[in-house]
Amino acid sequence: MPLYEKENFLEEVLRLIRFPFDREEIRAELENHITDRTNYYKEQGYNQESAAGLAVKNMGEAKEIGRALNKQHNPVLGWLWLVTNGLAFILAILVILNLAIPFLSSLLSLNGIDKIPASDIIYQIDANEKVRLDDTVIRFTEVVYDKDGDLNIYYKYYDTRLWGLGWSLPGIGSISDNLGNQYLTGGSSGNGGVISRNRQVIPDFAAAADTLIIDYDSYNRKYRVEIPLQEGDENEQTK
Amino acid sequence: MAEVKSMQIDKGLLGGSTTLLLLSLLSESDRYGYEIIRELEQRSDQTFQFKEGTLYPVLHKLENSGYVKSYLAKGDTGKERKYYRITKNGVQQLAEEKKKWEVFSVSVNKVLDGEVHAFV
Repeated sequence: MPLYEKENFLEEVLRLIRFPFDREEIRAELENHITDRTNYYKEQGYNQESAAGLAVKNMGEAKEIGRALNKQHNPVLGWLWLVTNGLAFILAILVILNLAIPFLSSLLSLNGIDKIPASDIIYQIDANEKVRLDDTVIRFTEVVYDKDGDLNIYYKYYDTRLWGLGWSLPGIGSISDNLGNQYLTGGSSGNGGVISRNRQVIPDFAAAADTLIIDYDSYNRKYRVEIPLQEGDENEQTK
Repeated sequence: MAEVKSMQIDKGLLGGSTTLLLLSLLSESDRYGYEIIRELEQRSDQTFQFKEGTLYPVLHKLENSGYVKSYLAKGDTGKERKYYRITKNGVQQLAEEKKKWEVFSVSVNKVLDGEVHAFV
């Protein structure tokens, strides 16, 4: 019976609250109060039934409380609040997606660039040369010489400033070899994102060359990278 | 004590001084509804007993006015409850209510004391 009384009381209060989304919270708050008061009376020696009955009685008139609470939970303001919050939430999600997608895709697509089939590779060198241009770090990771005579230079670059997102490197510099040959740089491909992975193709690279030289000199920024090729003793990984 | 109990103030809640009492209790520490009721009861030697449910519309009104802010938290009992914390605005309002109360009680006392005790 007391349980029924408590439920009765809560139902009667909540029926008067017109804004549905606040009902659950109000219910929990009032119910906690009744439970606390019931426990208090039980500690005073009352049995569960009378303790619960007294606790509900102490609350007062359900209609009066419900009406007063309803005044504080204005449905118009409540809906307005919900709608503006909803819009803000959607906006936040859009902003997050906008930022996160390029970042995630650049992390996930480790090889956004074409891999050369193993059967076409004449030799492959793992390089680890790092250079810096202002805030951009360029790392040459791999050099692959294929059977068409193309030298493929793989490199990554990223901006050390977070907001450098999306800026792309115009080119890695002029390419030559230890035999004195200068090469025209062919097409380069890469994926964007925070860490950009790229491949620079040098067509008709001299098969006999044993050092690849990359010279960058523009706008007063310079670097020179020499990567030992198939004759080199350390990095050699002839296939 | 029985004498006092018969004098229990049976208003919805304590009329105009409600805001003062609630903000004052909340300025000491964050509390949930039942704690506030118990505190009022104990400090007033049970003089302030009222329909406990009427506390909540008042608390929600204080929150709508920006004097308090509610949040859910698990207290020492591990049960999740709705706590109320006084805001900066609430502290200002409390100071004003206190001032009003002092003026009011001094005036009441003056009337009660009349001329007889005017020079005491």
